[in-house]
Amino acid sequence: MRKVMLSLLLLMALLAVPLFAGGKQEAPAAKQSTSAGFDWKTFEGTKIKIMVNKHPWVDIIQPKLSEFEALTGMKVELAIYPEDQFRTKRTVEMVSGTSDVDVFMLMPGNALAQYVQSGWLAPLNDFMKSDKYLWPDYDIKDIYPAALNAGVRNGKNYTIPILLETSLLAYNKEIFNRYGITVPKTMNELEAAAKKIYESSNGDIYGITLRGKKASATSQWVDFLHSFGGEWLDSDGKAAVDSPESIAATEFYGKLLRLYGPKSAPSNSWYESISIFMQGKAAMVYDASVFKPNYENPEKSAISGKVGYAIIPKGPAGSIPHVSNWGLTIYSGSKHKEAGWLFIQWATSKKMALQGQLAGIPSARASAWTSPEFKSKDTSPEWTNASIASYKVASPLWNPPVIPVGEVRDAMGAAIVAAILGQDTAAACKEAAKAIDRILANSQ
Amino acid sequence: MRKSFIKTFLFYTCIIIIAIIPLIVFLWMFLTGLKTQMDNLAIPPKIIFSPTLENFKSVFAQNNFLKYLFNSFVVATFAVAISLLFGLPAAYSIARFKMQKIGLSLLIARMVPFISYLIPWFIIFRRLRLVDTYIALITTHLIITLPFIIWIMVNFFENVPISLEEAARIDGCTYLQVFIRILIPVVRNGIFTSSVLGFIFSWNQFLFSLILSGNRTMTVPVAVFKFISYEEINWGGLAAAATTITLPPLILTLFIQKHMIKGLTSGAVKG
Amino acid sequence: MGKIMKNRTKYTFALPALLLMVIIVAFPIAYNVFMSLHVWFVASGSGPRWVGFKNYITILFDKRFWNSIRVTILFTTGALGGEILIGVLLALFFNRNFKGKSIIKTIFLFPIAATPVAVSLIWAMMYNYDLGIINVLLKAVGLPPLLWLADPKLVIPALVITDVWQWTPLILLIVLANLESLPSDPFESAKVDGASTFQTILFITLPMVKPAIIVAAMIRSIDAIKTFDLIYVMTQGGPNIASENLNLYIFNQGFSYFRMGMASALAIVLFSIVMAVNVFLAIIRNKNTT
Repeated sequence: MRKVMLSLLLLMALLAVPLFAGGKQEAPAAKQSTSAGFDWKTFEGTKIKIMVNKHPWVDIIQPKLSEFEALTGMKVELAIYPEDQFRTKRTVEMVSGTSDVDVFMLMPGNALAQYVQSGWLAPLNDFMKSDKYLWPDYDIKDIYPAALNAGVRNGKNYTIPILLETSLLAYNKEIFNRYGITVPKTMNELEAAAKKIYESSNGDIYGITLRGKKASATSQWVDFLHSFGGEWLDSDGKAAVDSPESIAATEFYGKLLRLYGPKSAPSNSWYESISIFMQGKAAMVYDASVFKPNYENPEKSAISGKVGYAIIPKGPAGSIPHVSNWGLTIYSGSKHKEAGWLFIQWATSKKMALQGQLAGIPSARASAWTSPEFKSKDTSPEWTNASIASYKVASPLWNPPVIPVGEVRDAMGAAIVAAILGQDTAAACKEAAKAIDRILANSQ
Repeated sequence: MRKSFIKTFLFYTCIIIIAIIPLIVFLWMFLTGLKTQMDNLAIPPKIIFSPTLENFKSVFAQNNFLKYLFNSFVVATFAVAISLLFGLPAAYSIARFKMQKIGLSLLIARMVPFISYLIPWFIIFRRLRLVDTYIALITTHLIITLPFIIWIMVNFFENVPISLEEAARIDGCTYLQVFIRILIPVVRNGIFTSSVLGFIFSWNQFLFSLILSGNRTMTVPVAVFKFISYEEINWGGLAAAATTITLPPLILTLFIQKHMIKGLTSGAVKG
Repeated sequence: MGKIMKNRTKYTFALPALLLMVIIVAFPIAYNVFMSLHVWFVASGSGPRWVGFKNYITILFDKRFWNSIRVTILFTTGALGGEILIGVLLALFFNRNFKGKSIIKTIFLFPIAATPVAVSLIWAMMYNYDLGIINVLLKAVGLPPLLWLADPKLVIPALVITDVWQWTPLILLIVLANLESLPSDPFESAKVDGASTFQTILFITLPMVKPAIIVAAMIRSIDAIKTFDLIYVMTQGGPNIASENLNLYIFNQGFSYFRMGMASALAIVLFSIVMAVNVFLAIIRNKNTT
């Protein structure tokens, strides 16, 4: 009996050794090339860890990682997380102060201020000028300035964009034809179109579907905000979401959903919203341009081939969509910054950008849009034109350039939900403005 | 005669109807896992459809699920093993020597919201560079398994007649010998039950794994969220993953049903 | 000699566990209390700052906090009430010998053993307005479909239903086990006296299982107040904050906004509430057994 116990304990102790594993893994000493010029194999043998969000772009990069590994002799560990958990996990990694992540995805509009303030990002400017590490064929000028500048803070570049998103009005051509609707060019026309479809179909078909779920709704609402002449913050950095223009925008957004949209709007994030559109249950949807492949995929969408695309209709202050992007950035505590920079260049190269473009991921590089290969394979020229038109006039301020972005979005989200539910929108916007000012004050 | 037949018939009908309520959710979960994405998105939902094994296949193929199952298994096993090692003597102590203080501290441990453990533990693990290791997860899971195992075992120890021990003591055994040679075999049912229940609770644990695990040590409840991606929610995949992760606890339940009930209810029956 | 041995043994046996508990439990609680007296906005890169009781005062005037209290109370009373009511009724119903009794018991173990995250995900899918089976069934019998998780007024009842589905079996099994262990004398004499089934249940059965019911309530109340997995998975506290209970609010403060000081203070408040409820129930139980 005693022997059995002892041997059991011994066994457990042996098994316990690998428990201490799962911590940092040391890379073998990297061989450094001695040539003065750029060399992909400079960091042969180095292992880098990349942390990403589960995004269609990742689906394209992942199978090609072996190409990168063959090219550079490096090894890549790719950690993928679902979106909600990714942001939390990423910040947890940063806060832990001992992260072994080298490169990760970041949305500058969402987290740049916070991460730069906390000193978690490595500036890239030296890399961008370096003889040794800048790939001669990289061609930074090819990247849309709007996309590249989104990653700039205090004069330094921190992120390189992997895509450039905007929001587009997608509409169901078949439903439009059925009810004799033309593509709305102004906000009034938008409302009229939604109303006509909803009423003519006796409520069977929603005029329009939009995000209504707290913070995520702000990403689409913000274009209405700007097109009505409103702003997140005024020139003093105080909340401006209770200005008359902002209130008008919020009221309009809420009204569209309340009267002509799905009843489930307040709990609809992008997924629920585009699903309703893809099932043919709504005539229009205003959401990210990156969802075109979804709308056009016959395996997932009942309306593939019947979708049209347009820039956001004109409000009192014009047609002002936003651009946003996901970017790659290097952790300031990384021990393989240069190696990480090689990965970033490869992943955002013209070749990879074109691959992404062909797969429906709107590229941040002009060359991808103008390439003959893309043009010949482009099955949605309307989407392409609308996207390019959008890029020309878009605002990068889809979030206010502050640190506690999540909290501010939550505060505004509450007002948007109030508008959807038909409550006193002006009061809700004033509440939101007060909350935002308080949050900003508490974040110094 | 007639009357009692009708009564029995009604009774069993009621039983069946009542029994369907727990079962139907699991059935729905399983069936959704067998549908294609288009079938799952159909409005109204399809009752008759042609099943596909794609979702279940993709759970394992695409997403490294075997690794997550393994992680859950490792964490749960070690949490239970350590809990038994520390908990059995403690439970005996409480039962025999009426050490109420420990009992009270266990109760308090259960009352504290898990998040209260999470924040300090997260900060400590960060300093010790132990985030995303098995050690971190097992340590936090101990908070769940240790009090629970002690709580169940106290009752089992209390039910051992003291005459058994006294007989052994008279024969000259030390307390440790009595404990190992006599008591443990007698309460082995309880050990078995509490281990399985502890395993199940650790397996089902979500919050600690959410924050403290990473790519290397992710456990199944967190991994199931991977089916919610940037472009869509894969209903079939989610359901297939949900089915897969809840299957081990359910299978364990099938095998130890009687013991489980005894274990769960023993603490309460005494009052 | 025997007494000294006894003391030494009892402490050696209990010491390892006690030490472990101190490390794993007492220390985090103490740290929590300590942190609650600081303000620490982790995302800003600066360290914790002492503020004394300021966090608690902020909480007192925080609308979102009081909302979370409201949600916690509504959810807990709904869930506990439903679970006890249905659990006791079912226990009484099942308290007889019939074929398949152990199968029934196994079936009712499944919801308890199943992984809460998985169960919650499936229920969220069932509640889906367009695609969920619940609305399909409602429409099939001519009733209008409901928004369930998307409706601020319905979201808490919807969550309660899921919780009742999952945890009623626990109450049921505890009370049933107790019923099965009751002595048969009182029932036999009641029968002899000509009492009806209803009277028997009301005046004999129920009072005898009351202690078990209270213990079951104590166990369940702790977990109901602290519910996290269910709500996080199904609604993340939405729509807006209509289903954000205190535990979820703490999580948001700590891991969405990274305000660790405030999160710690809220956690202390939650712990106090759970303690208070359990002390209250323990007092009732003690009153009962005298």
